[in-house]
Amino acid sequence: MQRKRIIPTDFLLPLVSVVVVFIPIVLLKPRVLQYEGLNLLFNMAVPVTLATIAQLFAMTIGEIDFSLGNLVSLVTCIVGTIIPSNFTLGISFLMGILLIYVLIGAFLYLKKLPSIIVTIGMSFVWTGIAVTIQPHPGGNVPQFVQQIVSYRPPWIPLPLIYLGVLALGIYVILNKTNFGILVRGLGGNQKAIHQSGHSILKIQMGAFLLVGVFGILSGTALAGITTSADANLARNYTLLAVASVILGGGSFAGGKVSPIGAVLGACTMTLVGTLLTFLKISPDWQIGAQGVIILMVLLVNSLIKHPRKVPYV
Amino acid sequence: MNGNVLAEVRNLSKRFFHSEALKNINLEIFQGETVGIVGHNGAGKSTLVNILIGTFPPTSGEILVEGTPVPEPYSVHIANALGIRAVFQELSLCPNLTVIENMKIFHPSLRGRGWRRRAEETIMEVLDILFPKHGIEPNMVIEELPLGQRQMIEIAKAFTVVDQPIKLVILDEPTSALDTQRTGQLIHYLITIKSKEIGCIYISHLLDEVLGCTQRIIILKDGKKVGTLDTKEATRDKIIELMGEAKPQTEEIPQEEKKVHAGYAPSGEARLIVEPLRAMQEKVTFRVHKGEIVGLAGLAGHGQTRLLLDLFDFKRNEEYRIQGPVTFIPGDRQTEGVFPLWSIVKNMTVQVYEKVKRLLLIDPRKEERIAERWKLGIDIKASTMNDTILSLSGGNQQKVLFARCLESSAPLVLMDDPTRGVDVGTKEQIYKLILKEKEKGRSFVWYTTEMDELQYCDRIYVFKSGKIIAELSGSEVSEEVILKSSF
Repeated sequence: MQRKRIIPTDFLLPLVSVVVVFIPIVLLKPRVLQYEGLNLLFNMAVPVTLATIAQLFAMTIGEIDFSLGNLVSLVTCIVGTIIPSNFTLGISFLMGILLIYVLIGAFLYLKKLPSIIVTIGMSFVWTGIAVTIQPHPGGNVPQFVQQIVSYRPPWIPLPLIYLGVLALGIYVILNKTNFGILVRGLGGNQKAIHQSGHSILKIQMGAFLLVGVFGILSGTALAGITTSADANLARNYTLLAVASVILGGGSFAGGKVSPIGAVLGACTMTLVGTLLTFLKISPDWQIGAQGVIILMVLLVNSLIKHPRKVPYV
Repeated sequence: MNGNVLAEVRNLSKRFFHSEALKNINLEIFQGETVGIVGHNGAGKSTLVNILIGTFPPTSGEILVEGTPVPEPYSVHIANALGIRAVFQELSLCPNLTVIENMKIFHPSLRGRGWRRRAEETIMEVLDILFPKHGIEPNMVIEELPLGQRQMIEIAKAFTVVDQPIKLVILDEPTSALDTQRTGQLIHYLITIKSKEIGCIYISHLLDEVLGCTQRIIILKDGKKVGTLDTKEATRDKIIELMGEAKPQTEEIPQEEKKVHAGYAPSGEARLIVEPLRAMQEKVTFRVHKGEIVGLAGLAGHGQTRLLLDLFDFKRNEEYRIQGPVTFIPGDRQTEGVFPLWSIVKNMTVQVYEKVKRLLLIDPRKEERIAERWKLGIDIKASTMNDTILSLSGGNQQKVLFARCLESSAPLVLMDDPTRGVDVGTKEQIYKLILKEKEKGRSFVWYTTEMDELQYCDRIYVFKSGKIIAELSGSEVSEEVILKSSF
């Protein structure tokens, strides 16, 4: 029997929000449509997207990482300060971070602790290490890191290539691989996973490993773009990433995430800041205005999705 | 019965704290056989299923599969590997995944190249046989499907074979979300099991289904096996008679006190606390008079709690005019009742801040006076009332919830199976308290899953599938009548 193919449509709404923010930008500054314009416009979206993907893996299994922004800042310090002077030591630091993430994943499951508390605790640890490494903004980000984010391929600007590859790559990991299906299943119904004989511990450790990996990638990209090491550079990334996942159609309930939507959500979050600058809104008001825009998008989301009512209990 | 014993339980017993859920159950399932298990709420059916599939271990007794005891520690995973599967009312699918992704989670051996195609073929083949024209696509996400289709997937999933063969499939209320046509298809399939090498346990409240697809029927009551009938010789009446076999009465409260208003005929003068706003289509309309105890009966989860919640939201209720305020006593006290971090006193006075206020602040002495009065009045076993509520036993916590609600002046008290998990002695005290408050003119709407409690009610409404299907007066109340009207 021929079965119908079902095309995912969960990224349509986030796509609309990107377009809604992008159109006024184009109207205000038509030059953004050129190669250079697009490059500048989407450059900062890359580290935000990487942090969003890190948060996405935590939220897929129904957890959250409240130390993400502090981690990203710490990574800029490692990349900009330790790696130039002692490469091996720098890499060992990054490996140590990954190990800690795997242990956090195990710890949360074994001790049944809320991730929000554990990761808030970790945020102080990350910032403490970062301040010790780099007390004042500065550093000397190595050339090869800068090149990773400033390379200029023909035709398509580099940030757009990165964003496209990330959206598709994460989609494939979560939807087409064994591990991805288990991770999403864990967010949906932990009991079903357990009863089928899968190890929840291993899945959770794997998901947290990926949170660490993408957190480190985000910090590396940010260091490359800003060419600075700063212990407070990315503290707003924690909530920016949560907001991007939600804007992209994800939910706090776990299991429901859309990788493509999350990348589009991260773009929306970055573009909103740019739009407000173009509108000559002073930086003092920008954060507030950003908040209002997020609330509006979420309101539209909730009006579109209707929860089903249970007939009787 | 054609041949080998697939699964067997010997002298199986299970205790939960003070209550004995199963007592010395012996049971054999043969190849090619469908066995029905029936019994009222709390008869031990679910406990038996959960032990068979390894959710929790029995207190004593053993489980054998094809003559060999199951390996210890027995778990759901091992049961699965031995070919024992169960379909539950509460679904065990991941709602956010597609049909074939759920298959992959259920069958870890579906991996490598082409697993999607194999998963699709396996589940679709079973679905096509079990429920022809099911309308389910393999790439549909579970939570976007109506409950009936989810249940169909759940049932089909239990019959899929990927690597290990299946031996025993346990269906626990499998048709609760299926319509008549789909139920018919399932029963038709179960009849064909005779020629297969598997066995089936079919648990349902719907006796016609059990009579339609089984060869043997086992009747449980109060955790004991009270009868085994050959389906050919079984009748509805015979089963109901066995299910409702009267048990020895141990109550201290004399019969006449229980039914102060037995056969309560609401006169024109008795004020209505709850009355329907408009003439309803249904034959039976729900109403509550002043000083009346109204019972809600029927099988669990058929709309009784829904009604209580609607009544509780009395200001916005569009169907009934309710003389508020109302107060609500939950049965699930851990999630709906107690404030676990608060003291007993604080838990008790949370509904009556008006009474304990002095100017704008709360007066702890007034609070303590109320708490001490109730402590003596209903014998709450606490060293001091300022201890945390969690220091009390479950029954005493429930007494505090009763005190909280009865301290309020609400004329209507809603009770959602309030004696769930409460020991016999405390129950007696609670019954006395309810009768005393009734004398004072308070009205009660009492949902209970215990037959014995219905004899305290003046009138009873029986629920089925979200609707009230019968109204019985106090004198008519007997287990048999209620069982008959709810099946």
